[in-house]
Amino acid sequence: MNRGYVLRRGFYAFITFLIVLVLNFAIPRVMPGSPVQYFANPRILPSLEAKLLTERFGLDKPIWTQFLLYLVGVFHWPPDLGVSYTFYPAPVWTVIMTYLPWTLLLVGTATVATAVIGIVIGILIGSKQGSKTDTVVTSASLFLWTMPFFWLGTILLWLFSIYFHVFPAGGAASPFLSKMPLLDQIGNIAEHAFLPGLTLTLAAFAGYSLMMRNTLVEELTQDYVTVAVAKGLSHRAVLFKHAARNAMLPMITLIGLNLGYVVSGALLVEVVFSYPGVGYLTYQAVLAHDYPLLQGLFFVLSMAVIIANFFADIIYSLVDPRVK
Amino acid sequence: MPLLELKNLSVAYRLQKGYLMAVDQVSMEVNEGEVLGIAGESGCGKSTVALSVLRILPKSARVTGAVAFGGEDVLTMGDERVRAYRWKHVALVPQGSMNAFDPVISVGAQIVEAIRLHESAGKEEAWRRARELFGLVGIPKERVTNYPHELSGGMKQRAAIAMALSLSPKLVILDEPTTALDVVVQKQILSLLARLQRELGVSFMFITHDLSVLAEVATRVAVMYAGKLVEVGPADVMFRSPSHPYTQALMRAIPNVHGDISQVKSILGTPPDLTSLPKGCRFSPRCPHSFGRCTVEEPRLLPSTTGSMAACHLVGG
Repeated sequence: MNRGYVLRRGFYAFITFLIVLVLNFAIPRVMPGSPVQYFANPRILPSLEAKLLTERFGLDKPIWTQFLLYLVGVFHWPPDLGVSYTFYPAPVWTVIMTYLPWTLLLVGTATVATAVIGIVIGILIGSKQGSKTDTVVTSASLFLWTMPFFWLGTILLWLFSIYFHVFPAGGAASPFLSKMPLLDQIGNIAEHAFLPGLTLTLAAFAGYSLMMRNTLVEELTQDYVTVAVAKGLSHRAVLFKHAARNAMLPMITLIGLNLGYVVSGALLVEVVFSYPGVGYLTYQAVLAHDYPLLQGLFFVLSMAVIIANFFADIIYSLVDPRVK
Repeated sequence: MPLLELKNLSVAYRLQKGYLMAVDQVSMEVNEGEVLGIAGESGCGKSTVALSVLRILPKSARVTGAVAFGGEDVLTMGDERVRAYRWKHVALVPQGSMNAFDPVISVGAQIVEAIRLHESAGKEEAWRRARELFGLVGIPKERVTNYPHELSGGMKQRAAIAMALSLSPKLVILDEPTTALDVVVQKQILSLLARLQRELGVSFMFITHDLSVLAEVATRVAVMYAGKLVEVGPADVMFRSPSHPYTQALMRAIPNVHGDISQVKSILGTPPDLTSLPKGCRFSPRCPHSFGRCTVEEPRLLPSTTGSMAACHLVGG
């Protein structure tokens, strides 16, 4: 691997991180109104209390002191991202960390499944371009692709939970999870994650499969493929050793990007299935005007996207020798 | 027995409606140790001929006639047999071989892939041979581990030739091997090819639209027009006294360093649309000598007085 390339990518990631830090500090402060107003109704809150809260949030200090305190908080472990209004007095970081594992489980698994299924289907239809399989699968993929997540989720929920009673209708686990034997615990969690996971996969795999198909179809027209066939390689070997390998390159960037977004959760699906993930938390934070929590969520999301992109770039440079 | 024999080879591509005859009843042969040049304008079917010899035409192609290599019919070989035949007996330097290599695999590894696919050579043995092949075509041996984008155009061309020679095939098909190169590199590649051909005794099927290239390497020349073979003969006959008006026109289109530039004549008009061919001789609409019979009856390939075979009503019967 090229060390200079890694360092340069790392440097860009760091610059992006700094910009995110500044924006994350600035945006809530240029918005009209004071956090204290959002925290409690000023008509009810006595002015002395308001003053105390302003001090408690450090909003009476000069802006650069606030920025410094903010930086100290961010680089602290665990990061101090302020206090949530809705879960007062729980710190934002603690709140996010209680919701994040569920999202990582659900959305993380679904994202990986989506990529794998999408790529496999893309290779299948791309290698048989113009065939009946291609026409049918491509149309079906497009059909699912254009379907909104929440709508597909609602249908699955109604069908499998309410009509057939095969899967639980909501939540991430049953209330008495900790009292169950370990295997039942795993089964219970999987049962709860299945429908939302299926929704996410069904509604998103076409993004991969259609892109993979089109890239593969183009790769198959390249001269090196003609040569590979002329060399006497089997159809399979030409497809997997050469064409699909090249067609995978743009997919790496796409997978990296989507893995970064895993921590943002899947807002609509988590709401439909009342799944206690980061998406559901975001939804609650928006409804409650919980700005510190939202700010914290954006911060965590930005970090994850920056890190995932960094690793995608590194992996890309390992598989494509042309990247310097 | 000729090394390669094409008999009444026709290739039709399926279109939205109907077929397009890319190659129409073409017969020719390549003998052991000779260089057959195939010349013609783009779309005349010369590349399709090359692809059908290796049986790597797209699925939409319908092939009739016969392709025999060393007496064995290529078109009726089983899948296993045809894969074993490819590259081992007939190798290819593709059109624009700038892109002959997979961009994410080192050039050496792609040569090794070909060797190990057909022979029971170990990894080290195969890499040693890849390095030797690099030496043979004049690339520094240590560059064998380079990726395609790390080689210059001329080097890539040499590497493609090295890969084609990796299994010492009897026949190498060169499809426009020098087209994308500048004149100086083109000259170097041509002399490399001429030298390799002499030293290894391999046969070449050399496809080009540039007749001046063939003047340097070909022993025999075949000229194609709109899917038809119009004239074929020994190179000196074809260059000195071509019989078919199309061959004559092609020869006049080659500029000569010592000649007068006003002598260079381009051929008026364009080749016909293969889906709506003119009646009779396909060249007749552009032919300066065309007469009544030419627009009615398609000429057959017959011996000419100079020693070639030509398909023209003015030649022979």
